Amino acid sequence: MATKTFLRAALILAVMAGPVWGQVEEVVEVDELDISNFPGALVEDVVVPVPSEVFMVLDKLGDPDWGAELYEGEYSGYTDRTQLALVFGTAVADGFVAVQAKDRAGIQRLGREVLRLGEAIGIRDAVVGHCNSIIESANDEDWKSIRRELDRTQSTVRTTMERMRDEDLAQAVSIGGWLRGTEVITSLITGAYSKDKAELLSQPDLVAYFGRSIDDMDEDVKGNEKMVAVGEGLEIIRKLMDNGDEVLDADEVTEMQEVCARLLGLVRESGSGGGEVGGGGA
Amino acid sequence: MLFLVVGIVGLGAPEARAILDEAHTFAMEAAVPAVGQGFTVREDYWSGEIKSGEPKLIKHQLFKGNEYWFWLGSSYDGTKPEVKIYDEDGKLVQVEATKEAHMAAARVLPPETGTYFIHVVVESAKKGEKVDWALAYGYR
Repeated sequence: MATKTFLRAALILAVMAGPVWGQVEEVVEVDELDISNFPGALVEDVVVPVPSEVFMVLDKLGDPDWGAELYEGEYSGYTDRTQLALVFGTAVADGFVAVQAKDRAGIQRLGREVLRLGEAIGIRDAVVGHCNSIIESANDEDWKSIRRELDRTQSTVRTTMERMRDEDLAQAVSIGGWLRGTEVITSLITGAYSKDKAELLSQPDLVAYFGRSIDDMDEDVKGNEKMVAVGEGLEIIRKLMDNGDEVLDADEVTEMQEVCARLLGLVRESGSGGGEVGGGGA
Repeated sequence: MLFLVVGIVGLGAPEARAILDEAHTFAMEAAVPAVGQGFTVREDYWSGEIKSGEPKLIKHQLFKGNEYWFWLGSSYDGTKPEVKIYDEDGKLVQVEATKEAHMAAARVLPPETGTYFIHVVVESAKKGEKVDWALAYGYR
């Protein structure tokens, strides 16, 4: 392929075997891709990682206090569809946190809340099966099945919204989920900072993608005051992340946590919201 | 088109009657051994049509500390998919790869957290023929 440079190095290794000299040929293939001159198409669709992809790494790096990260507030009082979509994303992410905390009662409550949110958005039929599975799997403490079902729920909701030509709201679900997941991650890292953990926040391309998604939304969605605030906050986060190859230091992680927490506060606030979003001490 | 069954393609050609999600079925078949080893398969995946022999590149965020498998499937007759994983500098980072008729896979242990590039190509008997493809991934 024209874009790829195959550097084939033949290493001739002289190996002494007993009194006899033999030759063993070892072929080392180095395959490189010139990404800036790639002749094919770049796929524009993005699959957003689920929170548990990062949560699992945090588990490997230490013993996070997942119980301290549980959200026990309400998910009610919302009528605006943009806000509902954002909140739906946060609720699914809350489910992933509850799984990490092995909070059986919390997961069952979330299963019911997700159904209620689905009803409010008008996609009850699409989520009811998933919610029942979540509740049943929580009874069995089958954490892996719950993770899978949460992923399915989010996927089904976005797919259903896309079919209803609500692509912007489908994107809002992803953004809400990412925001809540990142708030938890930054909170845990702030509590016990290490460079290995902070490296998990190196996601500038993903955040830039969210920013572009918001820019491309219809005016009624991107002009929604919650979404405006989220867009501004994401830009602050992107700038924090986009610092070359440097891993974020403890102060930067704290700043990111504050931005995420403030955005989530706005997203979850029933009634009117929005307003200015800034990083603490920025 | 992401996540979705895209529809019926090329009704005139018998081999092209497949809905695009059949490619995902092959990708999932490739995933079976990894699922048995504890990998969690993501629900979301990439799919669409691709011209035989013409590569596509997919950007994706990976996290150091996880292990990933990417599975590529194509349902059309005689297709031979191939998947490779590169870092942002274009360096091949996969540690294992397999390929056979209709499916291919690559495993990666990301050396750093960041953006990676998944290179997919599907060869079929006729160069330039449009074929289906689906790429899924799992992690542990």
